[in-house]
Amino acid sequence: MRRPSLQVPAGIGAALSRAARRAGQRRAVMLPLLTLPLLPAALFALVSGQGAALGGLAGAAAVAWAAGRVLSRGGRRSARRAAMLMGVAAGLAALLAAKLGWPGALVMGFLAWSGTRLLLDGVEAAEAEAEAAIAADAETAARATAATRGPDDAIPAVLRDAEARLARIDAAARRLRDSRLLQASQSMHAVVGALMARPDRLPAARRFLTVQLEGLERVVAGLAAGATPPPGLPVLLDDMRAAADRLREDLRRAADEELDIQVRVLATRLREEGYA
Amino acid sequence: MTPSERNLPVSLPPPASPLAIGAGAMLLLAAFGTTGIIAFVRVIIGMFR
Repeated sequence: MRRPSLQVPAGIGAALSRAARRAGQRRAVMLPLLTLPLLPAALFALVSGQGAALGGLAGAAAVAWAAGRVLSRGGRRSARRAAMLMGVAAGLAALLAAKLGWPGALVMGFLAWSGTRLLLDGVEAAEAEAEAAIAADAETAARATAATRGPDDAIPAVLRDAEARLARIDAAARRLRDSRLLQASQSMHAVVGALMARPDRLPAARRFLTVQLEGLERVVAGLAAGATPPPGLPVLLDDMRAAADRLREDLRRAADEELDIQVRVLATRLREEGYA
Repeated sequence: MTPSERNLPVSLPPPASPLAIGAGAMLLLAAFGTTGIIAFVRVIIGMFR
């Protein structure tokens, strides 16, 4: 039975699947321990020098150990291969040490095979999930890396345009030697930088960006044309800077809250599923 | 990176069923336990032959 999908960032999804994989691997340790009932017979066979029985028992223990190794290494169909090895181990001990003949060896082998299949219930699904989540994680990381390298379609055109306009405003503010204008422009740079890291927040900030950029451009155009700065201009520029700083802080806080909620939901889910 | 890329749907693997694990462990113990006891008896008998 498959559980419904859970919307989580790829990195956390991979961690979740890896936790499930580890839960399966912990069961791998149990496999060689299950051959412990063969130990008394093996000790007596060793003492009395019964080579065939000792060989069968030691062989069974070695094959069971190999089954544990196969399972702990993971990979495709590891649970099936481990179950077959456990069947072989039981069959070997039944044939050589218990001398049950081929029918008895087959029965014991079948019991051990089916027992291992039940014991490792869900391990293969966890393996497949872990591999899929890790692949998705790698793909997302590759896209994120590509997004940081130069011009890319991942950055919305509106942000690239805003960057270019802010660069022009910066240059004009330096020419005009207006520190307030420069500060307002730099605060807007910080907002655009935050939006580039989280383009999904752009719809909430698009109107703000448009109004602020148009305002700054008009101020710069007026000052560049030789207009005398009105008395209210410094206050306006300070307000624009403060508004940009507030928006950047809101973006950061929203990201923090989102991550906090995801971490709490996942921690609860992991505990409920028995993976943590 | 769009929201749909960042928040990938992850299907949780089915949790391990305690019933299945218990039944599996019982079957394994039955297989190796029975074999171990019979092998032990065979080895003891072999010592006196």
